[in-house]
Amino acid sequence: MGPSPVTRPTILVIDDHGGFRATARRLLERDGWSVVGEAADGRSGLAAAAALAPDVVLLDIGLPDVDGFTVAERLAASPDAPSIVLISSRDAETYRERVRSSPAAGFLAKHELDGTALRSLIGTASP
Amino acid sequence: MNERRRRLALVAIGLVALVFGPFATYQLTRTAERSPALLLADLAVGWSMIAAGLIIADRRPGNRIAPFAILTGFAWFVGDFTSSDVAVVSYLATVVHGWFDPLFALVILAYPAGRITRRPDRALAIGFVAVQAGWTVIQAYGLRPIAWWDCPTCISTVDRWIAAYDAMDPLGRIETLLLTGLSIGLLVVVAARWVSASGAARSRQTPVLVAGLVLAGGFIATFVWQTVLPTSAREPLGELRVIVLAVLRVFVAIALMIGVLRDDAAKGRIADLVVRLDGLPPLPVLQASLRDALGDPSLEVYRWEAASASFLDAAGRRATPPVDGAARAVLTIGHADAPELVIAHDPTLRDDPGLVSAAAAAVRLAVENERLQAEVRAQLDAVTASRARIVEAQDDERRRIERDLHDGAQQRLVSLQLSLQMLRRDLGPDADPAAVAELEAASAEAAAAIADIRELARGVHPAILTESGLGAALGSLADRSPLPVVVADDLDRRLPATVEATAYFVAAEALTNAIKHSGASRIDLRTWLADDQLHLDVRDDGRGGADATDGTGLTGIQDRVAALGGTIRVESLDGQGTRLEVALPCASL
Repeated sequence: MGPSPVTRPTILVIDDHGGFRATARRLLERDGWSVVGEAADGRSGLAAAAALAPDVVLLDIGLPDVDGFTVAERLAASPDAPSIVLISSRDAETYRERVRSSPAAGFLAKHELDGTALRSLIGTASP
Repeated sequence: MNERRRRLALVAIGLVALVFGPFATYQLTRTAERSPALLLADLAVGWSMIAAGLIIADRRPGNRIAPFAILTGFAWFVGDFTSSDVAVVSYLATVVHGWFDPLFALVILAYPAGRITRRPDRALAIGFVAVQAGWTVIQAYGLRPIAWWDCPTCISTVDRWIAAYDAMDPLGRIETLLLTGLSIGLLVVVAARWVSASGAARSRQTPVLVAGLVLAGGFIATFVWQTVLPTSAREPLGELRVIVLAVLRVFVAIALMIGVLRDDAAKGRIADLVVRLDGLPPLPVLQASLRDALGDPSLEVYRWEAASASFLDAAGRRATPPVDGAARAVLTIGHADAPELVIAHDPTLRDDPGLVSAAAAAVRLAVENERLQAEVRAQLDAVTASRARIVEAQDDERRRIERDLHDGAQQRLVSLQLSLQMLRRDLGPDADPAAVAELEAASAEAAAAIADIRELARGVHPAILTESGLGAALGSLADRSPLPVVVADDLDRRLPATVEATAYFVAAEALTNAIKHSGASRIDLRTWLADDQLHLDVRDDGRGGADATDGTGLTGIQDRVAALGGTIRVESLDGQGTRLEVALPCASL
């Protein structure tokens, strides 16, 4: 049952809310993603991304140390940069311009998160 | 004595003088033929002195010139009774009437303040009184042998008195000589006062200079008349001498009165000064104003400058103010040890202490005013700064609440909703429809709660303002508006958070009002920077006639704008739409 581990895209969730990370993990795993790691702030997120080289990074904008846009810049600058999807519990409008000018593939409001939405967002950008 | 009784007393004295004067003048006709001119002149001298005294007493209750002037006038009339055919009256009058001139001298010396303070003045006053007192005693004694009690109404005694007079003639000449000397001394003192005074002070001294000339001239004339002229020439010249001197005395009496009352005009100038010194003017202006008010072109003002620890004069040069003394009179404003201002003026102004102290009071008032104004300005600055800080603190607090809502309840609700959605999918197609419906209702409820909290958070403080700036926040306002809103955002940089937030809330309030009340079909929103100020312009094409002061929610916004030192203007004429213009300074924050 389910896609083989080889074909499952890997994803790293960076968000400071443990509750959301847990929910997101269950939701994404169910939708055929392989959540290879979680991080609670920007710095450990960057370290995890370097170590795990995920296909996609689900990145919260409001992190306690560095903000999501900065983390996105750094991730994008690394070799074999992952696709980045910014998330926030605020609506898209709040960050529209900044999302547009960031290297992220797109933005998802947290309550709209599901595997399909994610896949369609990164569609063309995904490896 | 209260005011009414004092006035009554003055009226009574006036009435007595009115009756006594003609009665006295009438006495002159009892022993000799007199010309009407002489009689009139005699009446005029007495009356003018008494009138001057009464008027001074009325207008300057504390001035001692008044009683002396009145006494001088009565002494003049008493002199007429030397011609009385009642021996006892004639005797007393002869002894007493000579006091006219010494009393007149005292009036001159006490002019204008009613005090004799300087040493030479006092010496002269004592001299006059002493000589006259001595002569009074001598006369009283010299005329004593006349047995007036033998024949109280006997006219022949007059001849015997004349004989007695002749016997005293050498002493009389000495008395005249002494009084002449004293009056020349008085003339010198008065002339010195006049020469050393300047401007208004000098013109004020003019009446006494003339008075001194008259007095001295009178004595010199009398001396010449008594000692130089042959007896045959005395009588016709005597009458002319009396008339000329009388006319001069009338003028002097009037001039003295005017001189004493002059500080009415001076008080007017002081009142002007008080008005002109609204706040302490620059030193040259202050100096000019004081020179003008006190009529002293030599007056100088010095101001202590703490920075250079020295006094500066009106030209801004370092200077050492003179010391109070005979050459200059000096008064200080401020602490006695550390005066802020020093005013050096003509010492003759000391004659008029009321005038100088009034001017000093005006300056003190100005200094105090300036201090108070500076204090108020400082307090106002502090209040303004604290008002701006309160607005900033309020913004910080709103931002914190928005973040708390976002980080707390909203995150939980988002997780909850995602869980509900997963649960719904887990149930699969065979699930109990009632359970599915329940789950979908719960999910919808969670979505609604998320929307509510998002709306609430935006009302508290729009995150977009912090995240993306004023332009984006205004764009978001426009997007959510039910009316077409055109935003022209010419800002090329971020502004202080409080300024952005204030502009945002003003715009939000203006949009709300336009949507609710104006019936507009379109709203224009424009922002731009000019002169370090953020300008926000909101216009609608509605019906106008909005009242910014009347419950439009703008009041709170106006306070907020004012707290940042900004201005807000609402223009809303009937039928011409509403225009709201706000300018907020950006540099100071």
